[in-house]
Amino acid sequence: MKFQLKNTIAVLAFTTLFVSCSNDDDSSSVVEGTTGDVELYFDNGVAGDALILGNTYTNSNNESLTINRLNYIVSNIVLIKEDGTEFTYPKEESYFVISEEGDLLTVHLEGVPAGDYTKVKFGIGVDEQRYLQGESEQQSFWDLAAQYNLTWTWSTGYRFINFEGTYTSPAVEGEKTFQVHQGSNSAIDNYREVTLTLPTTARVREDEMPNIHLKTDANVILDGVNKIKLADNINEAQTGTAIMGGENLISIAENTLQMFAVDHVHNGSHTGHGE
Amino acid sequence: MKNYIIGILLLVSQMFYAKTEKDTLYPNFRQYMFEFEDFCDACGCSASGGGMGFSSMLDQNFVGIRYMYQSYSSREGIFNNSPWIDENFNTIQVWARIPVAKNIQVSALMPYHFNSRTPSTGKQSIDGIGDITVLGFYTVYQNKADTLAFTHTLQAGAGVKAPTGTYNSANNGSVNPSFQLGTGSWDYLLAAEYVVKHKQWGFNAMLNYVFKTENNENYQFGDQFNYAGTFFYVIEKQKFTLVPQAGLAGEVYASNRQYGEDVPNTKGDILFGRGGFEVGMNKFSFGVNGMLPINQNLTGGKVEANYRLALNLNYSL
Repeated sequence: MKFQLKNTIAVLAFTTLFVSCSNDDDSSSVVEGTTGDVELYFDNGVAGDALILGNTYTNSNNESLTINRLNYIVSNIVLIKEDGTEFTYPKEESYFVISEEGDLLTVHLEGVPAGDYTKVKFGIGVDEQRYLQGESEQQSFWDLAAQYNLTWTWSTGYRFINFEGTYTSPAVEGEKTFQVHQGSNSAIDNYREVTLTLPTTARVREDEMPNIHLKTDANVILDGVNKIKLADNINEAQTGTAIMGGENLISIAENTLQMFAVDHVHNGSHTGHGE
Repeated sequence: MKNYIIGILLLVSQMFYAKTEKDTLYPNFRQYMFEFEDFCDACGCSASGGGMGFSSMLDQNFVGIRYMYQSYSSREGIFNNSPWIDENFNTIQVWARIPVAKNIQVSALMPYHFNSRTPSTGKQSIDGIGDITVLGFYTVYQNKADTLAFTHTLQAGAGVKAPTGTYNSANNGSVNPSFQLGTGSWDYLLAAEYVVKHKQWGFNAMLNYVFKTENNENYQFGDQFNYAGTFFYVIEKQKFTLVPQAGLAGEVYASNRQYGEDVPNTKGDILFGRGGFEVGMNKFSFGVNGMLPINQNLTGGKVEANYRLALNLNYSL
């Protein structure tokens, strides 16, 4: 009996450990009037694989592309709550360059009202309204875009997407260069907006920053709902393909509506981007 | 923390006091009652790690130490061609099963983990005490061995797992959410074990369910269901007893939750085949067990279990 008693005491001693702490601190409530930060991380990929500049892949048009450049502009970011209320990031601050070669992949937003956001909306490129404000109004962004080869001249405006490299195709002999420069011109507005649903809520708090991890698929630029064969657009000298205007850009604008998806959202006070 | 240490010391000291007297009280200690304890005990008990199978015992009541190794591969990144990185989960566990009353036993498991992986950003290691689990078992049914061709034992138990292992949400930014020392939460367990024996043959069936709660980082690991069935065969020699064994073990995980929302791609399941043996000599027993996955779908396919290995040395009480 002595034995059992001792063991019983041991168990009792152990049990006392389990009545101590509880974690009722509820950090989930939104404090009105407070703001926090948000990060959008653009993880560039191509047809399900990670985009690695210099690597070659074959698209469904049976053309093999070696991508050497993928730069683009995202803009006019809007965060949307479950009930549909929107927070529009201040327009002056809402233009960003994403560049694979420049390792410029994160958009950092500040002063976002605390809340639970379920959707994000942004533009691909620069809207007419902004462009028409004139060069001096947006000099610093223009300069940044120019640095990443995302401008023509001021009169012809921004390149929304700069997608370049080389390709081979059964329809052409040898390796050719390709340049896809998406943009608007005086006749056509190719600026587009996409609204993406987040797989889980992005929680913005004073001390919590959500990281919205987006997956970009560069393949759909040419190989999306509209199929654009580089070989069909080769120049007269047969040296390469430059797609910089015309109907193709309207097709590309439509394709890029499928270019972005949110893979996941990190929440909490330890969110950083990375993988 | 101080409380835990005192409690553990108390428990351990009780066990050593107890052993001097147990022979007279429990003469049938060599009943070859196999206990396959399969509580979420490895890899911080978090999603892909928990319920490391194993450990059959030659004795019903024991104190012992076991080492477990689990090898995983995790995809670092969101793309089809994202690289796989190796993750190594090591656990050294002190465990015991002791009688406290007729038909009632208490099990305690105290793990120490040392885990590592090497993502592109450089090697990461975490080590420290894991989550301590304590369970009570009640023998619901047992018939006497001597008279019948078949002997049956059915035990049911319940327990609690304390958040003694560190949960660090910074480790959660990566693909495998289970790279932790503990769940950070108070978790509760229900368990049942059934053993049937006929002559030298035996079969052990085990079920347990772990209810996991939200930790103070607002993360909640998914509930976990573990099951196993193992055949064993007892070879008795003059000086020792050898018990080869083989069977299946499975784990099913519900979605993890954060801030009350399901975290995508965190539920999963895995089925292992396992084999091993136990050797008993005098009051000591030594066991080796290995597990290989037969079928798995963990963390949306972003985590793969490669194999598990366990060694244990027990002293019967």
